[in-house]
Amino acid sequence: MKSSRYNRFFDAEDGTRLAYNCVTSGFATLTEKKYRQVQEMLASPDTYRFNTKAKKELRDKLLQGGFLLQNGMDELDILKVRNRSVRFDPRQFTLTVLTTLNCNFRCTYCYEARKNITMSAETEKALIEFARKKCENADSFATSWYGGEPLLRMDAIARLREEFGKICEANGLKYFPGGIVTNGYLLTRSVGEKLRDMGIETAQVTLDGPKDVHDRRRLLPNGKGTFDRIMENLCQTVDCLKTISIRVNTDKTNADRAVEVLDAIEERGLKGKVSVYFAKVMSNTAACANIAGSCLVGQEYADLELQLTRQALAKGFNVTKYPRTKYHYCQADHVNSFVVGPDGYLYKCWSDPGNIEEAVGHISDPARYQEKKKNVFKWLAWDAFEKEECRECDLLPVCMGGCPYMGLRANSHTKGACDDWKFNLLDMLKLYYAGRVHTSQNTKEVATPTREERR
Amino acid sequence: MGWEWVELPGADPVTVPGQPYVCDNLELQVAPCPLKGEVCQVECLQVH
Repeated sequence: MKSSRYNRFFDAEDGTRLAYNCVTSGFATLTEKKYRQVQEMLASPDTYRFNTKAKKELRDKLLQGGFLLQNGMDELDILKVRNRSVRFDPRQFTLTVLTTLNCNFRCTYCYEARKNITMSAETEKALIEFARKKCENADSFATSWYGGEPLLRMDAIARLREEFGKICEANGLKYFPGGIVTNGYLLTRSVGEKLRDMGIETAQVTLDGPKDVHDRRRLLPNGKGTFDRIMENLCQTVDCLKTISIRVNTDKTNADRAVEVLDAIEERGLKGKVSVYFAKVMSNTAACANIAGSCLVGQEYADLELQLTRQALAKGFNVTKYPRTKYHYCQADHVNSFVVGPDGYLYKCWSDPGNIEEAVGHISDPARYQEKKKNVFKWLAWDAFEKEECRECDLLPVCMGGCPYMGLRANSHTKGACDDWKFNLLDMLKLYYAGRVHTSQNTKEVATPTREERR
Repeated sequence: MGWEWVELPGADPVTVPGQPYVCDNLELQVAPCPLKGEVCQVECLQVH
């Protein structure tokens, strides 16, 4: 047997010994005595004497968590095969549907080209036929609903969702109506109930801080703010949708106030009823090139993320995230996943709709399909395992080379586009542990060793 | 026994927003799947 190269041993802020393996994402607490035993076992597993029941049990935990491996097992090979087997498996067909590029907001940092394109009846019909053909060779079909502001076209969403459901039923496929990304302005009780009835039970809504901060960033075309109405809508829909996820976009201009959104959520009785996560604003398209100077990247954002997570925990909001090992990065690098724009053009990445240069095909026009087909290959040929720094990186299992869009733009032969984990993995794990302990103090979900046990 | 899982070993079943991953390729797993081969639909819009 041999020790994994992806093991991490470190101490929580309360001194508890922690063990994490990046390939399996197994995460455990251990007592001081077990910690010392584990170090001895991993140092020389072939000669260590597993001569008691307790030692054998500990060895089995190490094997289960990937901390210990059979000799000759190459973890990079495992990751590579896992990656290929999922990326190029066409049985899972995924569509992110943009029924419109039109939007009722004028956010200061929007990355989409502002185009008043909305899905026509003809394109709807063509999209249904496209899905029908794709479903002939798939096992499952999943959709996400996006825009522009998707709720401007509830009519199209309802028709497409119904037809997609029929196609799956006819072909014996599992259909996942998925979630919707909306600015929340039109998410009234009545709309929430319609979404729920369609099986679209997850909504992601963005709030960028307390009212004064949010209203400076996420505006109506007339310059008026949107905070109060979104909050009211959240209160109206929180019990009819399964999950409402609040995304808090952060950059240099709201970093110091972003966490105050949690106070507003608590004041309206939404604490514990919605989930919250912090994200970074990125300047990744021509449409938002002007905000590059206010964006936080790399270590800067990773530090902010830690700070915000810590502040949230102090307010009783567990917004910690967990570094779960990935098979591949996102739908952009998956062979049978597409983003479809309201004009029928197909893309691989959510950043591209409206930018026809980057389209990878078209749902119905063979000439345009052939013209754009070449773009598919650059996405599918993107490969972190070809990058020397990624191969050598201990975080490859949770990063998988990072965002393919950013990686392709950087066009480096040696490295991908490192995920934020690169800069804060251990600290985030410590906070994750603290969050679990904090939220499970009454349930004993996480066993925290006593001071005596730690010895 | 002095070793307690905070998170069980197992891959993220979903890395694509809304996409289910049917983890049926057991020979490729390096750790037992916590989902036991069930189809999972985790809301994973956070990638974006």
